[in-house]
Amino acid sequence: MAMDGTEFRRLVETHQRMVFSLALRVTGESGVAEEVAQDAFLALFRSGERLESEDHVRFWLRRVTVHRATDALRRRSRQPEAAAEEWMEEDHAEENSAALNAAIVALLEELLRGLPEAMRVAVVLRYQEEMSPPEIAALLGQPLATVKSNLQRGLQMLRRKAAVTMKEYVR
Amino acid sequence: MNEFEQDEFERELTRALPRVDAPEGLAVRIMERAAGPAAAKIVPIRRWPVVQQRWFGGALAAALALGVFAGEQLHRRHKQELADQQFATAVRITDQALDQTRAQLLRAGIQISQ
Repeated sequence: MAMDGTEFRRLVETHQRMVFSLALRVTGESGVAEEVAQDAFLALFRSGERLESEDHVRFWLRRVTVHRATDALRRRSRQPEAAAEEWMEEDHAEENSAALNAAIVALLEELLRGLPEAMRVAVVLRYQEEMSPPEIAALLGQPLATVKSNLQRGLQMLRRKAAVTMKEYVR
Repeated sequence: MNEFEQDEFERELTRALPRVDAPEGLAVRIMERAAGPAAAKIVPIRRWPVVQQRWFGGALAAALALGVFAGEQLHRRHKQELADQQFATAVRITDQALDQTRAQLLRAGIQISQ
C-alpha cells in the first residue's frame, strides 16, 4: 500500500539533506545525486514498506541511496565529473568555511572522490553520517571485518594523499 | 581508548564532510513525480516479490499437474506395451504348438484342413 502524501512530504523534507549528501559524496556528481535522491524517495513512496520509526526510515533510505548511488556510479563507470567540484565551490564552500578552512574541505572532498567505491562508501557513512563500523556493516550487509578493512585502507589512502598536499594541516 | 574512537585526522574528516543542503525544489520535484505518471514506472519493492510469488506458485502448480499427467500417460503406455508383448509371445507359443500338433497328426496320416 502506498504511503499517505502528507506523511511522505514530511519524510522528504526531513531526510532530503541526508539522502542528497550521501548520493553526492558517493557519485561525486550533483545531477546524478539528485536523480538518485528522487529515485530513493519514490521507491520509499511506492514500497508499501512498514517503517515503524524514524530510525527505520533513516536506515532504509541510507541503504537504498547507497545501493542506487553505487549502481549509478557503475553504470557510468568513470570518475565523477567536475560538476560536483563546481557545485561545492560555488554554492557551499562559503558555508563550510565557517567551521573549517575551505581549502581543506575542498581538498578532502577531492581526495574522497579519488577513493575506490567500497572505501568511499564506508568513509562517507563513517564520517558524514557518523555511523559506527557495526552500523555500517548492518546497513551494507557486509561482514564487520570488511567494513573495518575498507575504512582502514580508505583512511590510509586519504592520509597518504593528504600528507603530500597539506603537510601543514596533517600530522 | 575505545576501538572506534577517532583520531585528529578523522575528526577533521568529520568536520570536512557535513551534510549539504539539497538542491532547491528537490522536495517539490519528488512530490510531483510521486503524484505523476512517471512514478508508475517505478517497480514497487515489496509488491514485486508478491506478484512474482503468485505467478511462480501458478507455474509450479501447472508444472506439477503436467508432470503428473505425463507420468500417468507414460505408465499407461508402458503397461500397454507390456500387454502387447505378452500377447505376441502367447500368439507365437500357440502357433508353435499348433504347428507341432499338425506335424504329429500328419505323421500319423491324419490330414486336417487349415
